[in-house]
Amino acid sequence: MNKLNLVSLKSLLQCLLFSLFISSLTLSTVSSAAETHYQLQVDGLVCPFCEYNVQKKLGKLDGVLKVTANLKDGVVNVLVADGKTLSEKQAKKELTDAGFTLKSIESHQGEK
Amino acid sequence: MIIKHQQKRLCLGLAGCLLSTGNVFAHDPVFSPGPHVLFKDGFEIHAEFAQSEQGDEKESEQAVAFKYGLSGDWVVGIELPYETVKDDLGTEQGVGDMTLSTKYRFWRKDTLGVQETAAIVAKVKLDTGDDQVGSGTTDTLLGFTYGYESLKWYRWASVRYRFNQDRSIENKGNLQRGDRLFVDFAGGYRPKVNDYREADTVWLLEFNGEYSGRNAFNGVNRNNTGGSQWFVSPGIMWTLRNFAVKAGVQIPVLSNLNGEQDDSDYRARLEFEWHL
Repeated sequence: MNKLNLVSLKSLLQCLLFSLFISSLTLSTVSSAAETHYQLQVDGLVCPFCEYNVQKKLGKLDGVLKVTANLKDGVVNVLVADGKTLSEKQAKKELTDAGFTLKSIESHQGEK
Repeated sequence: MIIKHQQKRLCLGLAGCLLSTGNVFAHDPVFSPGPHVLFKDGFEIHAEFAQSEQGDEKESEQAVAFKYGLSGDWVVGIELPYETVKDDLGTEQGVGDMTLSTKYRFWRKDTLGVQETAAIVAKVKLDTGDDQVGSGTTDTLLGFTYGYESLKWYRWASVRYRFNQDRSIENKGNLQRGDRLFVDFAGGYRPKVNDYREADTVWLLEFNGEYSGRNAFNGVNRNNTGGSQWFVSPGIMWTLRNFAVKAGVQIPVLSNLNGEQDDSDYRARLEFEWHL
């Protein structure tokens, strides 16, 4: 009897752990899906210092999680946290202060 | 000896040669100003080592400068040098004259992977240095600079004019120091466009021209002063994220100095820069 109880307790624990693992995965996916990815087309980016300037200015905005830039394509990618947004006006101001020109901005909910 | 030294330096019109580069920034040439400025609220720390030789005179300078971006187009700075001068009369060294500078980028044209800009530069060298190395005057420099930057090629041009203040020498009279005109052309080539987390190298070649007016003492022109010189200046600009190193050497190729003056042998410069 005791042996049977131990086996069922072990199975229960295994089920519980598996459920927790699945739940954490699901929660993680939901969290990623809520972030917003902005793609900025920026003119005038020509050097590593330009990228640093852009990172410095955009990175300080509330909710901005990550800023990356591609010099060759003139693209700046900004990842913004759940519940936060990056407006065109904000992006334009920060890029002007950094010394560059914003050509366009696109947002993609839940994409990285 | 100090007085002899100063008189010699003033008569030759050499004082401050190393300080004549104007407002230099990371993505500007080594020996001439470009239109590059800092981002708004950006801060730059700059350390510089320079050395030059002209005949029996050897001059070296270590300087620190701090710059601040008032806007994305306007920067102000302050520079403090320490100078050493060696010649046949001996060695003099001390804190040089402090310089205040500003640069305003009044025109900018951005396209994909290209930035064309133009700026005006101004600086005032104050009479703050130690007697043995300071010029004893407040001099003003005004200039204009244009730059074209792309992922592969760079080109710059600039013109600057330095208004040298007269200096009165105790019990002797008044020295009128000739003004100076600087004309610069520069080009740069980036062999490989790297990601911003990798090191970036740009090779530079500059042509720097200088014209100095004659000095006069109590209204009488000094023969062995003033003239013109042209330099060819190879250099390198290396950056990694927000840190830059620049180095270059000026080699004289054309010299037309008035009277009997030693031609410049070389001028070398090494700079370190952090953007914060």
